[in-house]
Amino acid sequence: MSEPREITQLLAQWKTGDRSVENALVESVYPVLRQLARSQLRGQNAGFTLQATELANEAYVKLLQQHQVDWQNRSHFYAIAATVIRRVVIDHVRSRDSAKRGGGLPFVSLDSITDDVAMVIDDSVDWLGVDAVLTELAAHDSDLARVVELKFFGGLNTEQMAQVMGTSTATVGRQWRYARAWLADRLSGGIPSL
Amino acid sequence: MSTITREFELFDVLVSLPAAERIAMLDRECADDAPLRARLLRLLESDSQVQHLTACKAVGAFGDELSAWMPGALIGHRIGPFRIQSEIGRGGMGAVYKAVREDGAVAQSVAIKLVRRELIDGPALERFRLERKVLARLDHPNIARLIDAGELEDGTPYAIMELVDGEHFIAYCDRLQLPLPERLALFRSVCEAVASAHRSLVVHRDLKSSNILVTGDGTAKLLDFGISKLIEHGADSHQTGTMDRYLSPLHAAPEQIRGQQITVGCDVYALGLLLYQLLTDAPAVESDGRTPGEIENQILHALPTVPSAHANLAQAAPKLRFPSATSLSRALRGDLDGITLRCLRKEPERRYVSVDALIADLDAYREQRPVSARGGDRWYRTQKFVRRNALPVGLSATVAMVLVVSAAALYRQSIEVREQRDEARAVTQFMLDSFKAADPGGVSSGNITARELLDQGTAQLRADASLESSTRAAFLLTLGEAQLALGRPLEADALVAEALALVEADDLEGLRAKGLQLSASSALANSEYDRIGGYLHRVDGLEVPRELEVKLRSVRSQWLSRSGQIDEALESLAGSVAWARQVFGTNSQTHLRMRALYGQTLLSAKRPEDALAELQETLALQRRHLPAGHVDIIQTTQLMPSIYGRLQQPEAALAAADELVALSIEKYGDSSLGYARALGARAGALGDAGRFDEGIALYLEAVKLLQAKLGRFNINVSHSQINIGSILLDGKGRADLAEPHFADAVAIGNELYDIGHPTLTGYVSAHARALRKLERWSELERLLEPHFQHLLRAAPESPMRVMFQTDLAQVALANGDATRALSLLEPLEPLWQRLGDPVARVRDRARQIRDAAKSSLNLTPLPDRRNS
Repeated sequence: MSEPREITQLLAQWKTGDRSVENALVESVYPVLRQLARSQLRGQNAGFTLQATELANEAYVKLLQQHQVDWQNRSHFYAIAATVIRRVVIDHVRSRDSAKRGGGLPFVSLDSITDDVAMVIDDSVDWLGVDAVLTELAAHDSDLARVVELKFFGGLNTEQMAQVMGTSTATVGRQWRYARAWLADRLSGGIPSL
Repeated sequence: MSTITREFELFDVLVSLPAAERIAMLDRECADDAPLRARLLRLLESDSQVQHLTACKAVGAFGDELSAWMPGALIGHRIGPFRIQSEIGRGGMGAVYKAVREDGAVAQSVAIKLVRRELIDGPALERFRLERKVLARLDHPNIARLIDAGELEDGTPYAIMELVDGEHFIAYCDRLQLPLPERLALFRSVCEAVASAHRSLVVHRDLKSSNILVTGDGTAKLLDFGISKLIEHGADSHQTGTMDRYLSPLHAAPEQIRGQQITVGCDVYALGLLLYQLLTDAPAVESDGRTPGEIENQILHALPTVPSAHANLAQAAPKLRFPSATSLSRALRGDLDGITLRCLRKEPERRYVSVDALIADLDAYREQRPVSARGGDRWYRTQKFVRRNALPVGLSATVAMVLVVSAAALYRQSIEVREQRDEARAVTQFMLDSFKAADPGGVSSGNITARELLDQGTAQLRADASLESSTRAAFLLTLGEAQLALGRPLEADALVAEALALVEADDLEGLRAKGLQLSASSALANSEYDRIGGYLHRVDGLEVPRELEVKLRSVRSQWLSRSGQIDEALESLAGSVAWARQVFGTNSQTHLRMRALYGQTLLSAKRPEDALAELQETLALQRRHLPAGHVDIIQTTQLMPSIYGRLQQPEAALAAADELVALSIEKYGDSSLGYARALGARAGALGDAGRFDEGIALYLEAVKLLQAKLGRFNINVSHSQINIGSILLDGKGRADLAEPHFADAVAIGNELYDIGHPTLTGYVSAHARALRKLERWSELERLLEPHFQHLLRAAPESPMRVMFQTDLAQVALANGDATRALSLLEPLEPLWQRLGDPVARVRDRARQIRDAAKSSLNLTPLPDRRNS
């Protein structure tokens, strides 16, 4: 477990735009979040849900109680949490059934949210594939990958995303549109890599 | 630049282009990079497939509520006094249940609509809470009543509504083969219901056959008032495309597809679609085999087939009990064609202004009187569409609402992302709520003024601590813009300054350019030129939408012109005229408006002949390309009297002023601000023509009107008082009559401005002139002293300081204190040269005072002088 002061300091650095501390930050927050996520996931077999906001909130409160953080802005914490949650999701998918891999695209039409299970993670989606492609995207452009990560694994709205990205909602919208097309094509075996 | 960055940037531009232009751009940009071109093509293809999809969230923020959405999960649960019995239906946004009252008092069945909480965001929920209060007040026999609304313990919003047992509107008409008159009567009852809701300031936004049920006894009932679209706002697809269209593109009005402001015009359009289907048994918008994109394009650009010429009339005729297609066609031709198509015009402002107007035409048709829609449509169809976005300033209650809505619409144009557009809608909603608060009796009482509305909105905003800063800033800007349009720059300035502070504090990028533009505009309206350069400088380098660019350009040139840099103003405007021509087109409203501004500036540059030529040509073009009575035509006409006045052509000035008054009455009515302004222009022309008494009488009428509309403490009122005083003083030489008007302007100015404000100082100098003529010296001294002291500190090199100091010297001389008079004049000596022309006349007066003072000292030499 990291020293309390360390997390606060890392976060302060990160908020000023220093992305190099991001990994260290994720590592610091990871234990608390993972523990919470596991307890949420326990007993969910058919599909699984993580409640991103609640999860992050809970972790946040926990860290606050431990005097580990003094963030003014929860959005920043949620953004960090998204990275952690991505890891938890991927770990979970991997451990649950390594033989079973869906091949579907990770997109959903708004109309089809009628399905009662829409909010449960979709088994037909190739989450490991998403993870891999996302890692590939990050190698080309970390900002684009970050937007996608926040989209899939974070509980932030566009405005909050823009805030933690240090851009505008317009930019986030444009990045998402590109990344979505890129991802869709990549996952359906298109676009040879750059 | 990395490959992916380049690819992203090209993609970003490409998706904003129409399909036809994409290839051209690809050819241009990727001429020597075939792999990049191929990748981009694939990405565009991929984009078209997933454009309407959003991320399949790996994590749901609201997993807890899932169980509530399993079919049947809520059966047997109690909400309020109602127990849920069965599920009636479900859709993407939630489910509807039938429930019965259980508290024993009366047997009552209701419909309960539950909204998926995860599809509603914070602001939407806020709006839902606000709106349901209003919805509960909708009490009309043709509207399914909202009985209650609230949230379940887990936060799921619900609405309890009157349960309607009936059949879809069109299905009902067709099953019974209702003849034309009965169809129209039933349709009229629907219109009545919608009009009644509009009077309570509720817009349905999603009227369609399936939302209108007809009960067994033939009563039409409207469902889901104000609710359905509210929910769509909340459903979030963090994407740039609008989502409304994917939900029911066939029923969307053009402005909904464009993501623009939703107003009563949207309901008028929907009623038009319904009427079209009733008359032709065919939809106005063809959907067979078309993609959503094609349908959208059709809604945006294609005019629907004239009903009487529709190919489907042969099928329709029997359903309407007509013997043949020909006979049905004959029945539709003319009036019903006109009424239907007027509802379906692409631009909301060109449809019926209200559902009441539509009803009036339906009644006229039934009673075989001429309908208003007829004839106009032919003209309409041959015209190029020109968008109107000017602010009407008439002040009947409905117009006031339009004003507020337009202000929000203008604000909306400056932002591009859907989420922000929602914010703009929230702003409008908020304004409408304040409208309701100010006018509990409903719009029909007609007594509310826009001023009260805006003040109410401001008070409400200040009292509401819960708003997020971006929403709050957007509200403030909207209120500020409306105040500015209303001629209350001081109020506007305070609001805009507050918004700008929020923008800076919280880095609200999306609002910064708009905030700076409004800051500059309100500073301009307050004659505070010093601040403007700074604002404009800060906008430089920001990316602004072209509509905002238009405003920025005109503020810049007006600022240059009014702060004495007239050549720079003309140069900048010439550039803006060329820019507007290129961007918007030669006959575009914007280009012509820019030209009018250029003409106006030529007048300021003392080139009235050039101004006249420019404005005459502009006006001719505006008359050709804009609808008759368009606000831009009025605005340009407004400039003509003063040009003719400057050219010493009083008759032409009067003729232009007469035309202006006629236009303004027709457009705004005779108790409007627009009319008051026209009266002012005519009064000025009368004054120029030497018909002083008539001019004064008109000015007084204008003042009365302005005062009633804007309150006594308003710059328009005080300016008019100055004008009245000037006619009395300069025209009739009646300083005694002029003085009270100047005094009143100063009194108003004192309320509005701090000492040292150029407007107030200007009033003071006018008043001083009258008091001087009247030789009321002690009053003159009392008036001038504080302003003089201020100028001495703050603007020692200003013409006003020189003028006031000269006046005070004259007072001293009149009081017999020649020494003081001379000591007051002496420090001015170095300034005459430096300030030049502007103080030439004062200098002459100062010399006379000096000579008089000197000679009085020589005539009655002081003893000590003689001795020395």
